[in-house]
Amino acid sequence: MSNIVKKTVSPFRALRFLTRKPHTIRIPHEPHNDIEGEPLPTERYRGIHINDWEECISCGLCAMVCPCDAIEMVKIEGEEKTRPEVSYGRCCFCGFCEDACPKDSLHMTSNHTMIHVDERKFTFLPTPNLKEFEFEYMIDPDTLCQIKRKKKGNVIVQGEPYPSK
Amino acid sequence: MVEDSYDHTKRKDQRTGTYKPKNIPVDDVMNEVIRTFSDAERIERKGKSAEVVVGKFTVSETLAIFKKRGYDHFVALTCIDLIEEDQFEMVYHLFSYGAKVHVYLKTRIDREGPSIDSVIEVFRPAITYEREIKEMFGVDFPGNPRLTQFILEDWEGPPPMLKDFDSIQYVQDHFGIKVRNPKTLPPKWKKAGDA
Amino acid sequence: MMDDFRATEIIFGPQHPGIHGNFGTRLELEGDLVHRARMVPGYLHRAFEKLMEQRTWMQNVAIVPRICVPDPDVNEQAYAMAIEDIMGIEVPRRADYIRTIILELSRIASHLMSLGGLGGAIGLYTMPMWVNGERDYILDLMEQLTGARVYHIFIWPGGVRWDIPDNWPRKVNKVLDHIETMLPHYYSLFFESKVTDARLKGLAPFDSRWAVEHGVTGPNLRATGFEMDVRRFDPYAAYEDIDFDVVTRREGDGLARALVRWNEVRQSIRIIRQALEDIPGGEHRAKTPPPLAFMVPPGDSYARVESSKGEYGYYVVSKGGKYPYRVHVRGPSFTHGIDVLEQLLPGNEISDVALITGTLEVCPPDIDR
Ligand code: SF4
Ligand code: SF4
Repeated sequence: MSNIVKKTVSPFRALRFLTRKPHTIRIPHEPHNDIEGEPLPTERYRGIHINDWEECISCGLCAMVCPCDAIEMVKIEGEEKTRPEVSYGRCCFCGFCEDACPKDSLHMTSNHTMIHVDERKFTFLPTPNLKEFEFEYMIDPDTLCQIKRKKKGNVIVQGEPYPSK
Repeated sequence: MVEDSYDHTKRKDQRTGTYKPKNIPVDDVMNEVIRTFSDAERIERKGKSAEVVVGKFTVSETLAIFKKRGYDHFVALTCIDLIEEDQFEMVYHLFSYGAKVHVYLKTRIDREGPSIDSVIEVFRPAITYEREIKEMFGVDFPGNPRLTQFILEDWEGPPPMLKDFDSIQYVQDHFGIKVRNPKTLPPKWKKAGDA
Repeated sequence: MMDDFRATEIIFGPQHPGIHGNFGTRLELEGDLVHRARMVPGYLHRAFEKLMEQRTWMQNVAIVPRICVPDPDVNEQAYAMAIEDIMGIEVPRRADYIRTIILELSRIASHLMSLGGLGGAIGLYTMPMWVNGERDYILDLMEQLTGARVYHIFIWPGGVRWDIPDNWPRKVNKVLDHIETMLPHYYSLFFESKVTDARLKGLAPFDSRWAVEHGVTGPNLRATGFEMDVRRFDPYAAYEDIDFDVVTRREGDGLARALVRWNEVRQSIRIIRQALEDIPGGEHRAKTPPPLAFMVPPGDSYARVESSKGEYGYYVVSKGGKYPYRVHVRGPSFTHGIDVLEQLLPGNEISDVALITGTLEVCPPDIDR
């Protein structure tokens, strides 16, 4: 008999968790912390690429090692050398390109918020500094809306919702 | 905290029987196989594994011997397309929970009109493996009742796991995907006779 | 009695019926009893085996974890083990310990997720919420160690990619302590519930002989009383040096399978604690050729590991050169997800279909590959 009572009551003990802080991260942007309260992601996180053009010797090793065929060496106006261009519609964020780079010029940052409506056009030319780059689509973590950076001018238009396809 | 065992009302259809692993050294079983079938050949391997190559028609009987001697865990059935030799290699993986030895049982079949008898009478799990190989390599398994469509829905091309099926060409033709870096393309396989 | 009795055929799925992935079931029903069942896999087929023949040995390391979503590290481990066996690479001991820690963390996450899925299937929606909170802590740890949350791409042939960061072991211990304090709550919520008793006891039972005959492995086989664990009988990574129990139950029904998983979480915690304690110093990576010149001599090898679902195996065939000739993946669900389910489902009510699939922990990604 007591067993039946126990089995009926036991699950309701979960109710005491109502007063605890939830795991969910909310909007507007709450930082994501680990169990000790340190911010995430850390340095090791494999996110958007950056490439130091001073160092890069356009050897093409990064393109050779890429398992997803995401890197293409492209010719840029005003530059003698070709530079790696990453297609984020293909990239699987394995980080092999970073490991293969002989001059240590290609790196992956811990920034991972990005968005595009067409995965086939979602190409990105890594430059030394992510901020200065003409980056078309990124997500604003506060509003989960798309930030549109005008090419070169670096003007940020905020609050434009993610367009449906 | 490991709780006490509980009773559950047994259903009528409950299967009864406890499995007891047998520990029979692999050398004994191998010798028996080689004595029984003149075309069986043992190949040396390192580690806790053994390999035997048998003829196409003695696979079921050899598997039955292994099963009787405790090699009763049917791990997998692999088909390998040896295009340059114009053959398929079938690898039956067996394992003994008692002796803890992995056995590779290999046999070759022709690549033209490939067919090998089903082994589901001996090892039931083979039913799904054979079904997959029928679809991916086109090998026929007489005796298997369930060689129906498995994974590939509405597929009309040749069996896709064959080495001469060019999947990159297929993807380019059907989905318009461009190869960004042609230097990374893998080698192409051709039949022995083709130039 | 009704004379014109007619069976109904319904298509169950391919949404997630209590499992990780899309998987359909065609059921022939008489009333609400299943008369015949046919599995319809294929919704997650990504042709990994073919893809792997077209990538170099090292590029494949980025592909293999994608085969199994909830428990990706076993793929990397089995693939690396098969290559190490062909090439005769000796893995540094430190790498073995780091591998063990990752594999066990991943096992905890996967077992918790499967219990959460079961909770969802019987209407206890608190379970999936809680386990996802716990799993998130493990994903955080993985992110700090490997640089990615789900597909870690961390275990290479020859070792692991990076060494563990400085304060990482302390964080692991904190997360383990947290999970350990939560486990009794899970127990009282899930296993002490009358609903669980009513739904899971005596559900789709089978015994060990039937299980071995049908190729069932892993927790499902251990729930029938047969002490079979790859970590024990064919030890890989650092499991030889670590003291742990192989959890078994003898009932072989749905509740036994869930209890085996629940108790294995405790064993995993024990294994990680020991591994963190005894981890030796030294290199974390053996000397291997650089990725672009990575060649494997001709040969073949089958490597097996114990995943959270059962025996996971990679059969790798090399004919020399930069590309594998054939890679065959033996997913644990390939046997118990198709043929075994088709035999277990008939005679059960339609409401139990998702539950049986869930207690067997069928993982569609490793059936389809
Ligand atoms: S591997 Fe490094 S140096 Fe070579 S092209 Fe790529 S980024 Fe430039
Ligand atoms: S991270 Fe991996 S997939 Fe992405 S570009 Fe680099 S090598 Fe290619």
